[in-house]
Amino acid sequence: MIIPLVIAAWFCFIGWSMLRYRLFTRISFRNIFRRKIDTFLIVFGALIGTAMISGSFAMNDSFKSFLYSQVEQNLGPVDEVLVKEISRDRTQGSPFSLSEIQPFLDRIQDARQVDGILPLAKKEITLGGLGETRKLLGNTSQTVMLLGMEGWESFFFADAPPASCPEERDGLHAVVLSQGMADALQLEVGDRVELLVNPADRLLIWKALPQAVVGCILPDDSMPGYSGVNQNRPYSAVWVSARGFGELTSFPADTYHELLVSNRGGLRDGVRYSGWVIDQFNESNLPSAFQLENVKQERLLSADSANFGLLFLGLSAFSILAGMLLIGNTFYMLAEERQQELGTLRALGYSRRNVGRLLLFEGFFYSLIASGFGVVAGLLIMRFILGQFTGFFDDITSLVQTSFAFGDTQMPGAQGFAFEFSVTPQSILYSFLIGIALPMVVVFFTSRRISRMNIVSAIRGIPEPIAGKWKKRLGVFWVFVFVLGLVFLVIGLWKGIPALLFTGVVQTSYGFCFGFPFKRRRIILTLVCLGVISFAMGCTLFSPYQGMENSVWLILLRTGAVLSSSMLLVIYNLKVLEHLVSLLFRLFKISPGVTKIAIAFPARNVNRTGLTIMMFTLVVFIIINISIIPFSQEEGIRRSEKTLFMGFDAQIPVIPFGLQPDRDALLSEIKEQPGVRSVVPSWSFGGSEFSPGQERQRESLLVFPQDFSLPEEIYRARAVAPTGQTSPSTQQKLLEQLRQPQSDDSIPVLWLGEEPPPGGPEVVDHTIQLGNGGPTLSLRIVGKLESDLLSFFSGYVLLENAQTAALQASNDPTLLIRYDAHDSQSKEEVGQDLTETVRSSGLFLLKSQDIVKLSSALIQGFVNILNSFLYFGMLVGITGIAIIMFRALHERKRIIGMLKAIGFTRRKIFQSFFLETSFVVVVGILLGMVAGVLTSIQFVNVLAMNGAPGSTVAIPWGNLVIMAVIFYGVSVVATLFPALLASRLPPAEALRYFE
Amino acid sequence: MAFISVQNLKKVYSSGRSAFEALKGLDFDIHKGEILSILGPSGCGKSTLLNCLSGIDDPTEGKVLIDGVDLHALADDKKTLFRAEKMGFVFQFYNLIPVLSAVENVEMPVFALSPGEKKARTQALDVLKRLGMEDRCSYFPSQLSGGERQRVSIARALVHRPQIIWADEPTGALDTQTGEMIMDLLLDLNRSDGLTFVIVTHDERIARYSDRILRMDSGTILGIEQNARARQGELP
Repeated sequence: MIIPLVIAAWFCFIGWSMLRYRLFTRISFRNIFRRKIDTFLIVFGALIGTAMISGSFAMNDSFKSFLYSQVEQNLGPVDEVLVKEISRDRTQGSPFSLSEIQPFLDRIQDARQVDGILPLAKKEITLGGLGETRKLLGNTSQTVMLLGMEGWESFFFADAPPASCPEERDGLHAVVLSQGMADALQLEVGDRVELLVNPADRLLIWKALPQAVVGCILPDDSMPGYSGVNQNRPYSAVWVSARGFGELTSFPADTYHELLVSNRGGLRDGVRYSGWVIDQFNESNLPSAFQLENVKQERLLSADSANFGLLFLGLSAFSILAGMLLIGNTFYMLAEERQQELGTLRALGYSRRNVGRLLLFEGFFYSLIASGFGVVAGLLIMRFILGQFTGFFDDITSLVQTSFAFGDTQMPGAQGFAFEFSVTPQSILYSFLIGIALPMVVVFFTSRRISRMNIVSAIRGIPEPIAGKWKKRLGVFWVFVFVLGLVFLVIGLWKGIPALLFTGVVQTSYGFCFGFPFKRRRIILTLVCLGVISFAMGCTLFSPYQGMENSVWLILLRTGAVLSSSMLLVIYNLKVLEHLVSLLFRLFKISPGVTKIAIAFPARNVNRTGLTIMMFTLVVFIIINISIIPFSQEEGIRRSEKTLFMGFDAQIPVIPFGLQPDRDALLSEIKEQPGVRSVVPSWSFGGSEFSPGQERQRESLLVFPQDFSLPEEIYRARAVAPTGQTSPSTQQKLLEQLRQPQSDDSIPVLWLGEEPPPGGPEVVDHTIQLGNGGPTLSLRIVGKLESDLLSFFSGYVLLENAQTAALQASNDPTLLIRYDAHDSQSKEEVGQDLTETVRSSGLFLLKSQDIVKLSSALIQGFVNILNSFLYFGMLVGITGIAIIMFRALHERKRIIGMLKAIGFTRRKIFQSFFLETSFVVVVGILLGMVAGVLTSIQFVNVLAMNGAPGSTVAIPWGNLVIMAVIFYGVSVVATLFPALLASRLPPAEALRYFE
Repeated sequence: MAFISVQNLKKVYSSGRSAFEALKGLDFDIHKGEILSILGPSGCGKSTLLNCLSGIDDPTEGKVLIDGVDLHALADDKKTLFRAEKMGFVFQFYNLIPVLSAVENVEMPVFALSPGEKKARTQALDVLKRLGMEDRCSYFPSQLSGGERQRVSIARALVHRPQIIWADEPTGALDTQTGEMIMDLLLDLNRSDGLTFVIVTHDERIARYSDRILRMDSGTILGIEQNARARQGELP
């Protein structure tokens, strides 16, 4: 809160100064309107930064608002929940009676801080229409959380609006459903429903299931979505009276699982009293088995900490930085152009402060206008992007619905994604203030610097070298950087801190270049930059960076070093590039004179060109990173389409509770389906691994029948020797090895999944105990999947044997299916038919194609959303180059006149502007691309080692080239107008300019 | 036949309802190989006349025939190329390109005619050597003195071997001594190469270097005087 106040106070001070120094205010104001195009471009450049800030804030607000709505939907008025001995997965606690918690109830029952308490009993059941529940078809029955509620007459509790709902109807207990669930199960008020309370009763068909009646159907948003402390389990809640709950589930009367507490106040202000409720609980001295879950405050805290907007703010930081460079650059150019005017004012007796004031007021006008428009633009853009978000999640939801055979029922959690645009007044105020403050900081320092001009040089229009005092200060700063770098270097070496050592090396190098007087600074700088780049790229070959390739901080440091050194290298060697580009232009038969002019101007104006190149580089750099990293992930999934299901095309997973329909009938039906080539059962077990020297951990095993076979072209594999060494192999050879008994009675297995296998790549012998207290197996890894491929199953693969037989007999298998195109039917159509067959049996089919499609859609959708935000940031670079070329037109009018006088045609003048833009833009884009690609390669490798196996670097060259061409094209188009104006300038008029 | 023939040359600047007649129907000839000074007070129209003569500005009425070619009847690009072939320019404020070295500045007119880089460099170095600037070839304009800059500017005007040199106040930004050095140089070039010089000035002393002096005031010619002494080497 202090920072906005300080900024506001600063603005008030500027406003007061403007009133006090009206002459300067008038001059500033007139300057703004004198050059409308310049003003427009500066405002446009500055507003992009503000738009990105306000957009990021709006994204954060919208996302938080969404999370709050989820909290409200899930918890309703519930603030705290008292539970007893809750299970580890936090789904079910032990039952208790109210007398056990009486001391706590006495304290909170009539307290003003609490407006409701509700004892609750709950049970996970399956609910469906009459005769439907046992079928477990998904579209007519669903697993739900049945909640038995005390105090039915005041349905619901606390400050929630009461809903009138009968406790009983037609002699049956009434249940309350949400509209969504009633629609999914095709139920209406008065319909009878069956409850499968105990899964084992499903097969006891002679035993009647308890029945209830739909008493009420409430709109989704008025129905508390509360279904237990664990909000991650996506159960739908079905409410019934406590008495009804007891009778339907045979649960003892006056016994509950949870006590819900509602604090006074709404969603946000209710949590004010959470501390008080917790104190009451602690002071009640209940037995230690009881615990009070502070559910709402925790959820709200986690929503607050989920700063989604920070991701956008982080991404846009590059564009905002580029925007600030643009403002500084442009403002400095404007001031330089008015050097004589400002010099005259100084000669007339105006102080430095007054001249600085003049520029500051002008900057304030620009910032004020830019920030106002920027905030509005950012909000509009983010509204559009959020629309894309909602559309994207709708697409994903529909893809999930159509791809996977879940029947007509909505998948839990796959409901529409209500991501609505929302922004708080504070966010608008903050972005507006920051939008003014950032450019004003730049303007302030630029004004200060310009106001220290040499009056004679300014009046005569002589380009002013950096003043001695300023030069000295800069020198001192760089010497300080050098010394500090040395300190870091020494401490880094002494204490063995690699990060400090790295920073020290880079900092010392830069400090050395700029801090000491060198006659040939360019050569020194070039050598140092090359050295820094080599050091950053090759440091992992030497101690202490050896083996640290995947350290994120080292990647960030290396990236920063490479990016900064590359930029300095290019900016200070533009003259060298000039020769290379001249050779290139000569190929296109462009006049050497045009080439010289096109390159000489940017090559000599090192600061201006450097800043422009930096703007392009930064924006492209971040876009490249955002493109390559997810693209590599996507390619990994695409590449793994065949390996996801062990070379099969689809699988029918096991349904929980062992409630499988007639699999034999289904098996024969699938086998007869045209296009189906094979159906293989597989059994999946959990095991507890305790290899010597390793911590005990859970692993999975996938068991196949002995006659299991796969064509060897299915996927690439590597053989693992007893030493742990790997070598290329084929699937067929590995299968042969799997069938061969080992001399030491160990079972040969394949390792699928993350790299390396448990215990490290060299450990091939493992010991694992199946299930709980099952047989212990000695396993030897004989092969594994190539590290750039993914598998849906992660663990050991083995063929059935005597030790696994017993477990196989008592478990249902997962069916793996291979199918292909058949007659006129494409493979996709065969898959669709198969989906229908499986769906009709109440099971669902998971196809590798759909997983790839879904993953691709998810990654692409997300990347598109981020990119649409980042492409907006490109406007900074484009505006920057347009401003520079407009400035160039003004500055070079006399030169253009002279060139036309000595015989340069319109075409040549146009070409010189066009090539100048191209030169700067192409250098910026290429630099950003190279640095971006190098960094993303490192990041992808880190991802591959940290939870994203299967990732190898894949560069979307096509997309990158398109992005670069668009960026270049739009930049060139933006400079066409000044180029055309320059080419049409009458020479006599141009020569008179400034005279 | 005159090398340059000016017929009824008029130039009117219009701004809204008001119009200002800068040149009021001028008629005169310029002979090949002569130095003609256009002399007059500030605002009399001498720079406008030079611009119209050289084709960098269009007259409102009248003709400028150079070597029999009606300059203003040419299309813009053809006129530009005509200038590139036949004319050289020397400006008061040099108009050198600050980001190019002396030799690169001198090469520019040669590139306007599109020959190769080697030829341009050879010609530029030759002319700079002739003007005593060979040791300043790689200097940038900001590293040169006023006189040196004007020499580079003259070198640029000569490098492509034009027939006419237009000089607009060539000594206007220089001190007296340097100005005289520059005028001596122009005179030498006129004598040795037979180039035609048209010099705009308001300085009587500079005008006395020329063969003829065209006096102007308020857009009209007051008279054209012969200045025989210049030819005889009796310089002021």
